[in-house]
Parts: sequence; C-alpha cells; structure tokens
Amino acid sequence: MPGDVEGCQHLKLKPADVENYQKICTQIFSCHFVPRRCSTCKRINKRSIRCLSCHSVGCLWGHHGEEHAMEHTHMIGVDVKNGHTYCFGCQDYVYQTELETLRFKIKNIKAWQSDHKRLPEKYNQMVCLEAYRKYPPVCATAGLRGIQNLGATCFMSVILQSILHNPLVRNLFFSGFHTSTDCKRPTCMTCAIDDMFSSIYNSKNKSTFYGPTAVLNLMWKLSKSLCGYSQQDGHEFFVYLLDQMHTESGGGTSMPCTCPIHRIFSGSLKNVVTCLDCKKERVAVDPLMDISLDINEPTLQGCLERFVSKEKVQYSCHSCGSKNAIKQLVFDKLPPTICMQLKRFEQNNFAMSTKIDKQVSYPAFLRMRYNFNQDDVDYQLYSVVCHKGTLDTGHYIAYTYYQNQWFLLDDTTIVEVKESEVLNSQAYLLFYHERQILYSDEMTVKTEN
Amino acid sequence: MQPASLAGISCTIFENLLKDYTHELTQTVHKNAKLSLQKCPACNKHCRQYCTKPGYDIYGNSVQTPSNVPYYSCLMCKREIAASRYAAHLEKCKGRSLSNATSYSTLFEDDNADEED
Repeated sequence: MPGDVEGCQHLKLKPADVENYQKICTQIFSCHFVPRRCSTCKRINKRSIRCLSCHSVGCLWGHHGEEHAMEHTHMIGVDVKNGHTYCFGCQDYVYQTELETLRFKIKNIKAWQSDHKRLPEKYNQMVCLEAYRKYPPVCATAGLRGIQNLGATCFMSVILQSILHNPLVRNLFFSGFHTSTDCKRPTCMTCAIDDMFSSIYNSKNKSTFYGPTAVLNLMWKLSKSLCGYSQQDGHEFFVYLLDQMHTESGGGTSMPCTCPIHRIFSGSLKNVVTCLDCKKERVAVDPLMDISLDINEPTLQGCLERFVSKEKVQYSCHSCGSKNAIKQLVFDKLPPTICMQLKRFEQNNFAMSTKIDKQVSYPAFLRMRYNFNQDDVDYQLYSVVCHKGTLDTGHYIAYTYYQNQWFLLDDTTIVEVKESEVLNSQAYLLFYHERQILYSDEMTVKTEN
Repeated sequence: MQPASLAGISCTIFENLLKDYTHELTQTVHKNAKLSLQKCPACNKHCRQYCTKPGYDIYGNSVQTPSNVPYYSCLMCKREIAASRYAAHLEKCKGRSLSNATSYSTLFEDDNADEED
C-alpha cells in the first residue's frame, strides 16, 4: 500500500478544509443538488470525487480526478456518494478521526431532520469540533471487557454487558449523571453501575476482567427475591436493575416517569377492552418496561402480532352488565430502547418448570408501529442474551454489536462472530435501540465564532 | 471509446451500476480493515486487530481455566476468595452476619483494591 500506514501525509487539515468538508457533507446528506458532472469529460459519473480545496469535480474511475489532483496538488477529495475522503496521493480512501466525526454527525442530523420535516431551518448549524477536541482520545475497544463469573453469576454478567453497550445508558453515565462522590445513600446500586462504567471503559489493561463484586453484594442486600446463591433469571435481574436505578435517581410513581432510566427504557401500553354488546370501550394506560412474548410463532414479528391481537376476556361491563368483551393491547408510546423477552421458561400444570427450545428468528432491523399504527420507530438490534443448556444447569451468553462488529461475550472470553451466528442463535432477551439517536444538545449547540 | 450500438450502451450502463454497487459494498469492509491498521491513539497499540485463534479471545488472552481464576476480597470477612467460589462464600458469610450494614464506600474501596490485583 502506498503511503504511510499510520496515516495520510497528504492530509493537512486546514480550517478552510474542515469548513469545506462540512459544506460538502451537508449537501450530500441533505439530498440537495450535488454536482456530479466531471469538469473534464462533462459526464455524470456514479463515482465522483469533489476536490476539497476547490470546487472541481472529477471522476474516480475515469482518472480525471487524479489528473486534477496531480496538476494542482489538490490531493484530498470527497466522494459525493457517501462523504468519505479520498486521497489521490495514497490512491485510497482515508478515514481521519475528526473528519469521520463530522461526517457521522452531519449524516445523523440530516437523517433525523428528513424524518421529522417539521424542524425549522435554524437547526442547519455547523457542527462544532471544539467540543470533541478537549477530551482525551478513546480507545477503539473501550468497553469491550469480560466480566468475571463469581459462581453462577452469568445471568448478571449478560445483563451488565447489555447495559454497558447501550449508547444511551453509556452516555448518561459518562455525563456524570450519578457518581458515588455526590450520592448520599449508604448502599446504592447506581453508584456501583457508575463505578463499573468507569472501571471498564477506562481500563487499558486488556488481560484483566471486571469482577462485579459490588453489584453482587448490593443485589443481595437490596433485593429479596434475587438473594441467595443459585442461578437466577437474567430477565428478572434486568427488571430489578431498572427499578432499582429508577428509585435511586429520584424517580417517583407518576406516569410518565421523568427519571433518566425510564426515559431510556420505558414506554406505554394501552389496554383497550371493548364490550361486545354495547360497544363501549374502556382504555387503561400501563407502563411498558419490556415486552414479554410467548413463543407461539416462528418469527419475532409473528410473536409481536400475537401480542397485540384481540382476545376474548371475562368482563363485567359497567353500562350494560354484559359478560362478553374483547381485549386488545396497543403500543401507545415506544421507548428509545426496547427489551423483548422470549418466554422460554414456563410452568406446566404440574408446577414443573420447563424450557422451550424453539427457534425464533428475529431481524437486525425492526420497524414497530405505535399510537394506533399512526407512527413507527425503526429499531436496531444491539444485544442478544442467549441461554444454553437446561433449566437448572444452563449458562447465559451475550452477543453485542460494537463498532460495526458483533462479539460473543461469554463471561471473561470475548470473540468476534459473524452476524449470521447472532441472528441464528436461540435468543432469550433481545435489546433494540432506535436507529437514529439524536441528543438535544446537538440541536442547540452554539458555534464559538 | 463510446460504444456504437444499443447493446454496447446497455452493457456500459449495467457495468457502471454493478461497479458502483460493488464499490459501496467493499467500502465498509475496507474501512474496517484500514482502521485496524492504524494505531489506537489512547493505548498506542493495534487494538482493532482482533485475535482469531481458537482458544483465545480478541486480545490474545487464553480462555480462563480454573488454574488462573483471579481472587477477590470478600467484603464481609476480608479474606481472598477465588472468583468461581465467591458467590457461594458470600452466601455463607452473609448468613453469619446478616445484620452487618456495609456502606457503599467500603464496597468502593474494596473494588478499587480488586483492580490493583
């Protein structure tokens, strides 16, 4: 490969270049008119490189862009299809960190604005890079650490890994949302989670693992149902953890709850009961922390459709006293992060627990409708918790999507896996987050000019 | 260079479409491969080059065996316990001192001590 492997020497990154790059990326991701016609052969190409120094456009495959680069020493160009920078000196794409940050953020903002067309034009501001320059560089594998099994505690490890790699929870704890120096409680699970984030994301040693001793002690101290040395349920620990963090971050009992944990994980569900005789409807709104799905269909979408399908219930109508009614669940509000539990552990008529080993296929991208099917949310799979083995001697493992790559997290062992292996696993918990996550500070950032 | 026939023009258009599609597909793999060649600015290593040998994790650590299990300090009796037996030991310890109210600062200090091991 020509050029230095550590980076492109032709990329000097002057402030004018950064400003030009912002304008080009804004045009590309706004779907505005971007000139693609080559300045030399006047042909509209599939791959055009726009010069970063001037406004010349050259074709990449026809080598007219290269001629322009060599003639004027304008080495860096921008691919007008995806915004990546191309260096004609290296004859390769280069991925500089700050330009990649700019490209990623502009792409996200424009995608969000195109989905919500009501936004005024004042949000077309320049993305400020100074906010990111003052922080130290982050390791590309920060957060990828194994969690030590303390003896049948793998149910805890997989949930902690899913919490660790949720982008909203991660950024919440990175913003200093809850720290042990500010907390006054003698025993606090959220402080332990904050300490876990610090330990794992700050760790530079890649041959050590995190030992969740504090989380285990606090769980046994604060939770009565999860106390005791035995294999517990991962989903039960997840529900407990959210409830505990909700209590410790000042959450109350009002609906909708405004604590940060519920704003990430909680939606609402409408329970509509319709009397079959007088057609009167009774609507109750319940909080939606996670979705527990029966395994009656071979696909996740089928399980969800059965979850919201109508069913007959025993009911006493207040108006006409009839006993015949239809009940239907409707998603009223969907959360930014959703957890779906496939009910694999069930009790039969003889009070014996069994495990359902059926395969349920699930997509990496999921679109869900809510608000009586008027709106929809696009979700992306970021974590899968699987249970292997039997009910008593089973083992939990987790798959996590990290930096465009899927990893298998098996206690202290992390290996790289293919997406096909993740999508063909026998999933127990599925974690999805919104595909386009935009934070409110990015809409109100002020340029420091 | 311009094709003279309609079939030639169709082939050229199809070839350009296929070339563009292939370009977009390979760009993702190319980006990951190229980023893995760069050194990480934080830890100054090629940490994106994951180890793919069987029996090792992505950082080249061998899979944990009972002989190299780390030890953690019990927060109740302060003894060093092997990690795989920590939960079982904690249950016994907790049973003996159920009324012991441990503050979080004690947990925090011991957790820091665990990191230094």
